[in-house]
Amino acid sequence: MRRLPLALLAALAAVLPAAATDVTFSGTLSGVCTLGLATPGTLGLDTDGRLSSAAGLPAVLTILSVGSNTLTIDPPVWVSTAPAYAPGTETFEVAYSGLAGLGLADQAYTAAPTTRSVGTLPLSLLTMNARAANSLGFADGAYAMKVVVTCG
Amino acid sequence: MRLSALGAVLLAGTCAAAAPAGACTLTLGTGGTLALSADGSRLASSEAGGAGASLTIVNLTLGAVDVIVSPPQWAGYPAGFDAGGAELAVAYAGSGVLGAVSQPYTTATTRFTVPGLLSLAALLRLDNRISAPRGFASGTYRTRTVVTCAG
Repeated sequence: MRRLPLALLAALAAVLPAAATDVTFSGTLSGVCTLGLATPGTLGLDTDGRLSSAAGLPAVLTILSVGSNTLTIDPPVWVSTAPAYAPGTETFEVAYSGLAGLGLADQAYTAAPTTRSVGTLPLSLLTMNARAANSLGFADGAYAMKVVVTCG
Repeated sequence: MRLSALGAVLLAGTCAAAAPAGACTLTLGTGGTLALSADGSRLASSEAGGAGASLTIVNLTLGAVDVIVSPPQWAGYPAGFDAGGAELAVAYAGSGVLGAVSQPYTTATTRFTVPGLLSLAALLRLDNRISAPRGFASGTYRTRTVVTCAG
């Protein structure tokens, strides 16, 4: 049988059953919480003489959470101050509110660290304001402060 | 000589697939791996870090056959996940003699034609996607897509 007649091959094919297969996909998610800085804030001098992002622009963070996580937001600290700045009695405060899918209760200005429990969230936004008051006021120059946010 | 070679291919395909010796055989090369999208709303093999599944299609008939790709089904998801609010979709793309086959993500049953005899080992890459606007709970997610070759 050097050559199988094509007609026979075709006949065999006609009576054979259809083939089917399951193609499987899998993925495991655990302990995911990511933070991103969508927009950094800018500081301005408010009417009470404080350096505040409410007098500039608030910062916007992105948060993505899978499962249950804890969000911790610390009060601001200086990153840099003007050379002539003289610290007196300083007060640092932060406030934030959730947007989009982030159903966090709004946090009014506070000088203490705060925490929030977050469940499953697609990418969501958190708007944040920071401000600093100084009993000796503020000298001319550039100032930068940061708020540390952790999630895990 | 050419027909003898065809017989050898058919034998190899049947063994690998452990499927009925058919005019058209489907052999799963690798399963797919799902990965989370950057915005957390999709778990898909086409996302960065994921991997599509590969399928080899062998058609030894003289004529064309239809390959039918059904929409994905759940094979498992963690407790606490809102599966009712999620949508499953499948996409695929062929290579070789199936180079013109390309299906973007769809939730419907689709089909394409595999030409006869020429399709000794056509490769198909499949992707699955879970869209969940409200995000994903921790745990393992599994989907299954049934591919059928109808002679």
